Amino acid sequence: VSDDAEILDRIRNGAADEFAELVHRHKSQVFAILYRYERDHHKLEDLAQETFLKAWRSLDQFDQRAPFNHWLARIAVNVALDHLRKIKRQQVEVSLADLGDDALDWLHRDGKSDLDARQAAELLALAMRELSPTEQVVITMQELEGHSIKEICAHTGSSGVAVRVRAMRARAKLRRALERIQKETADKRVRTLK
Amino acid sequence: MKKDKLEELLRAAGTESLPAAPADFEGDVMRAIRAQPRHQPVSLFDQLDALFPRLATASVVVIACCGLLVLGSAAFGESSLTDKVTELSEQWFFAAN
Repeated sequence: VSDDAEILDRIRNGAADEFAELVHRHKSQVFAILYRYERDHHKLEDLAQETFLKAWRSLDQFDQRAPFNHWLARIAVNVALDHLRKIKRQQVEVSLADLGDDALDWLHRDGKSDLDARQAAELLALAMRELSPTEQVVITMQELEGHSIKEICAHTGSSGVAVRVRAMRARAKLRRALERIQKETADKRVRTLK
Repeated sequence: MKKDKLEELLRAAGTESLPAAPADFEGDVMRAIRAQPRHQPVSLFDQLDALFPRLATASVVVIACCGLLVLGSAAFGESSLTDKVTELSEQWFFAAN
């Protein structure tokens, strides 16, 4: 079985179709990264395709000092950032009504309780709207993907201090967003009961 | 909002199973690649755009040098630079006549 470097050499020697093998090997990684920022499957597929097209167009710039999957992950993070900036400009409204009852119950319950992973991700996605695109990327990589500060720096091209500051700000904003959602849904619940 | 609640939410969201890529995703990417060649012709505007930071810096340096030259010649009591240029161009233009 050829490794990525061998496949890349063959592509550089004119075997363009070999790129399909690289896509096959790394598509799961790219989908996993992008799904944290876009939950709609059609849009997710478009973003993944954009990532591979960008990689294809800039293959000449890949110097093989880092593994191919690291380089590709960096492209995917940049595609995600561009996408977040675009949807931020469009100010997409996410309705509280889109949240499941379980997520709202969990939010209003005191003490520890279980929350379904999917509902948790949806509630988090709603709270994430309060964050800047770079803050979203930092907190997602740190908390959901378990990357170290050093890895986040390598993927985003930011300094360690900038990453730490963004992570701290992101946490504070997320906490405030959850408080706001809790308050808004509490008011709605009271009105419904009346 | 208790600090634990956010940690709990992040932990739960992190365990969400991720979607698998579609089966023929490779085919879609390769079709898109074939429709869009890797080496696209670079237009003159693209080239100027790529050179923009260097061109802008060079222009600022040239303007600054000219400014310093004018100030320097004025400080040393020389006749103004415009007069000298006019004088030189007159000599050059009318030299042949």
